[in-house]
Amino acid sequence: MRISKGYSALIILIIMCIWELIGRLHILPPPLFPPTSAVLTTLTRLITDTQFIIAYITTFRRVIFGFLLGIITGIVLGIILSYSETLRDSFYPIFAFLAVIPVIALLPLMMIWVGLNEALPIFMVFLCSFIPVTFNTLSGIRSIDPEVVRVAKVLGASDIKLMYTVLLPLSLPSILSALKIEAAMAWKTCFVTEMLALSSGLGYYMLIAESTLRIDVLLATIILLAISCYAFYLLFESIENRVLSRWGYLLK
Amino acid sequence: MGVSVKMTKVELRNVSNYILKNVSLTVDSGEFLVLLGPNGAGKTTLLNVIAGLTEYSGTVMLDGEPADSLPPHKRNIGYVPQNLALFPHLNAYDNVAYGLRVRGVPRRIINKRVREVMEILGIWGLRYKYPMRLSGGEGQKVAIARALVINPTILLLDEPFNNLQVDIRKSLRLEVREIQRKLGITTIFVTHDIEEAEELGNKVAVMKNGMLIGVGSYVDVLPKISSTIYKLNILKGRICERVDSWLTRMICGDLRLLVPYDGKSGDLNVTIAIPPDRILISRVRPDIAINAFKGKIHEVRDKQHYSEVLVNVNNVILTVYVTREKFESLGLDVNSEVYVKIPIRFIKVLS
Repeated sequence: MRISKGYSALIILIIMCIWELIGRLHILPPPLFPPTSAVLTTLTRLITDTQFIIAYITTFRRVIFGFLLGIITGIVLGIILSYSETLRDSFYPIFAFLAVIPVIALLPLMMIWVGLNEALPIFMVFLCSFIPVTFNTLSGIRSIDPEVVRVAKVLGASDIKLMYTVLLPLSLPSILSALKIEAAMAWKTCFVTEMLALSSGLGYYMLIAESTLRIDVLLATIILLAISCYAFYLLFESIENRVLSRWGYLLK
Repeated sequence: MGVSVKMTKVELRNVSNYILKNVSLTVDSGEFLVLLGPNGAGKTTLLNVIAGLTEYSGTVMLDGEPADSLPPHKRNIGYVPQNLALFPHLNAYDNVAYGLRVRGVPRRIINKRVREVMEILGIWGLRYKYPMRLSGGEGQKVAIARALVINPTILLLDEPFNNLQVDIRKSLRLEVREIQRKLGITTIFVTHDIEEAEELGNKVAVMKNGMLIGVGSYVDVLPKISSTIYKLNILKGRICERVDSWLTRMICGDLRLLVPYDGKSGDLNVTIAIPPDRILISRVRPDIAINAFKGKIHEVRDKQHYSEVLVNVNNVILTVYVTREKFESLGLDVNSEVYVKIPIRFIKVLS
């Protein structure tokens, strides 16, 4: 693990060096292909730039709100569907159908239905996150050993107590693995929505940079976007690992 | 204290066949009943009926009151399922405390009670461990503590010691029996192991194919067990000599056997049962020749994991189970001459 991390750092370093050389030696025109050092300088400048910070916070807020809304709705729906087989069987095809539609394909429709306002990116993020969370909550609950549920019932748990003392905690790993992947998806969706439909946020900021041919700004923003996605991934992964190692499922 | 369980004409069927068929069984208050039967006999289903975890027809009375419409959590039952089903997300302490917490018992009382029960079972030191980190025997004890902590009036144990080593099984078995006696909880212990049934059961119920085929003391139901679940060598004979305070010599056909029997009842006619997997078979005469006889292999039947060898010893046919490897290494075949030895401690005198 440690060795492979070392290797990947080395490879990144090599790519950055080659990039730098291409820029420095003018193999490609520098304005279109700024060297690594220029991009990094822009990056450090950007993270202290008020306008950029505002754009970042705007996007961040939209992602968080939409994502939270998606998580809560997904978990509640998953629970409801887990209660009744009929309900599950009747809604499953609808969810499966919705799950395969790329959320971005719904954007034009949502631009009309929701309007070009603050609710749009939040709603788009919500749309892309609630279905996977519903699925994973449902499959998490269904994978629980029925004997465990039986014991809990015999020991005196009512349906509601059973839900929050056994079913939800035990489907947590499954829910977290959905969140891990969908967090990046939430950022991407928000970004694209901002680019195509709004005049605020990181996506819009990039659009401006593109129109003024600021390649260094574009690259720096992409790096920040990647870092943000990855930070979310790491957050959920660390929660997942903590839960699993606490239960003894992972070797420390 | 325990309550009585009375089942009358309990039946359960799926589309094609009966899972339980006309089961009527009474377990008195404070009694320890062993429910014995092969896999798929309906033992677990019967426990689920008592716990209220499955639909059924017929009636179940708990403490003399009809309990058919009572939900599981109102039956005050301690249940240890076959795979233990410990809550993997809770440590040992929280597992044990679960039943009290969901019943809304005050925290102070929970602490006291959980500690008490865990100390009785000797697992207080494991309280911070999660189930995945517990050994088989430890997990077993946690599951039993979790069932006992709610002060159940009925304790249902579904093959709780299935996956354990023989010695741990034995000590846990005695421990459970001891605790049950002390607390006087009505207990139903499911097993498919006749040794377990013998050791635990002052009352044994035998099940096969969803039906109850016999209830009584272990010795009483042995012929039933032998004819349905587990073949035993059942031999009838006459006492001819008292050797010791606990040993007598009996004649059974042309066979003279030492059996663990005090002969005090004065009855000279006895019936004995010998488990076929306990009879030793060899090509050479055993060093200690007590209950060792020369015989000839009469017939060999191949089973899945072993061979059933019928040995003719002085015109008495004994069934002996031999593992495949041993069968081959000894080079056994029909008509080969062998020695069989019947260890005294495995002979059970029925009457």
